[in-house]
Amino acid sequence: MRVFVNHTEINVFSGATAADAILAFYRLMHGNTPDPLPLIFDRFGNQVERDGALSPNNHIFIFNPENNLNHE
Amino acid sequence: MNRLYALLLLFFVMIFSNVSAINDADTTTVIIISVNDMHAKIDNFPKFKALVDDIRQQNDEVLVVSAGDMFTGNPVVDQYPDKGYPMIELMNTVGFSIGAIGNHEFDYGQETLKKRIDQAHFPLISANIKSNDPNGVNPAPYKIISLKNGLRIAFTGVIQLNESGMPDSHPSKLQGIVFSDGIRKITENLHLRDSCNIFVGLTHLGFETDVELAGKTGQFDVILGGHSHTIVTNPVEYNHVLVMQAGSGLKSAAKITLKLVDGKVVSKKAETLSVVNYPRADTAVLKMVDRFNDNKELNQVIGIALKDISEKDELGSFMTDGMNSLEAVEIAFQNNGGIRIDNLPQGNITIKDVYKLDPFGNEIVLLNMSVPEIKSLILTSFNREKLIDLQVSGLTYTVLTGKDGSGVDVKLHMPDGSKVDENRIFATGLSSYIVSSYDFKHSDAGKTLYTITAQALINYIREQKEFDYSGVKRTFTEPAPQ
Repeated sequence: MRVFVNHTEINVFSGATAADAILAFYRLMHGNTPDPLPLIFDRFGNQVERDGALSPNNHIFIFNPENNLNHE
Repeated sequence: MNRLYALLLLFFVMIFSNVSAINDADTTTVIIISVNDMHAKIDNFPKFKALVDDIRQQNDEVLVVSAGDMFTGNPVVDQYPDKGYPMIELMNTVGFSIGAIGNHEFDYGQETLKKRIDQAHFPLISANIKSNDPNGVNPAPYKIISLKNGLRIAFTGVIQLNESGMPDSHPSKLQGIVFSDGIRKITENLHLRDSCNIFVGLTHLGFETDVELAGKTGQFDVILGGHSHTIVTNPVEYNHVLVMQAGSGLKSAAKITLKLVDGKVVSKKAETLSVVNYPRADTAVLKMVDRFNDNKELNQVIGIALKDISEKDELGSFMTDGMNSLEAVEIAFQNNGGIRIDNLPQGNITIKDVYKLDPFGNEIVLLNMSVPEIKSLILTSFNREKLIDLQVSGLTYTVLTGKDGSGVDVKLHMPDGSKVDENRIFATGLSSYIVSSYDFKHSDAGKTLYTITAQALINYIREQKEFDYSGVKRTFTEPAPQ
């Protein structure tokens, strides 16, 4: 399942949570995974809980996405 | 002159008293309190009941709704003799008005879901669920609730579907049901807009899809959603539709205030209320929750350890055998960090013991893996600390180490000691933590089996009854040939 973290395309298993995608993002970026994980936001600026379900093509962010707000 | 003043005074009194009467008759405030993804977290119900009661004290028209996923996530409820019973009993006590069916409502199986629907004093709706069996799970696509003053509120529900066109639940739990595209089905109910005063989408689609739905229709006054566990702290209207969601686990609730004049919605306001921090708790509901938490089922003996099951090798073999007992799985891996006790003593094994051993609730993810990919996984795990990290079922393995102790290659063997066919593809069960956190080559992204590792182990223990893992060891190291 394709999702996007900070606009970076991530391929995660079907049924993955927001936390699964963030862990995969850190792995892709070859970065150390912080403990605890940072807050997760959606493209509208709302906070998403770690165990929130993802759907294909969802966009999530691990910085405050105020500059990316997209109130369509 | 005095007579003129008296007439004027009478005239104004008549006019203003008449206006006031019109306002009294035609202005209504309706409150909807929405929660979603409660996931069987019952501990906040006493505070939630108090919060709802306090709002009801101040308002005549208060509805309480659930946007799906009432079940799965708390062994007290999931392992209750009548699975899910405590949730519905508590929701009945709070006085829920309506709920949408979420994907995790199917986790206990369709027969159990039907029993829970019958138990509920409120309707559970969904527009895109239709069973082939007329006596199966066939929820109404919508429901109209009439208030005492005659106002009509229409709710239509819808459930998310994944890339396979099914809700995120174990496929065996979904057999015989036709799931249709949610947005297409919900738009078939847009006629409700004209016959009702308030039109609510009660959805389990995820926030992004709710916004898409709002953009495509624009007909709803409000969409109250679930699935993505989104906490909306800054409510916004999309295409004139207010879209809300309130996290998960009954930690918070969305409060929607709708004002109507002449039966038309003239203002909408949404806010997120903290349930966790609510200062009051209902004592009667607190007693109910205490009674449910004292779940004797968790102390039920489900098997016997003939000898102590100790340390990572034995406990990890036990756990992975549980994962491997799933029909779809040929081999399974469990990381040592996920083994949370050092010893399961000889004697009775209870459900509570399993949750102590494996408390994380990680799901089993199935990947079709080649032999080089399996070796990559094992080497990645080993080279983190230059130690065995993954326990295994369905195989044994030996990590060949270089001079600095790093793993350089892996030898795989079948349980009977024979060599593994290097061209074989294995249906591999991994905990979701491994799939997300370990950097290993795999061309198959995988799919969750919607079964947590602890549940697989409980099923395995129930089936096999007696266990002797003394001396079981499936992972080894040896120096690589020079």
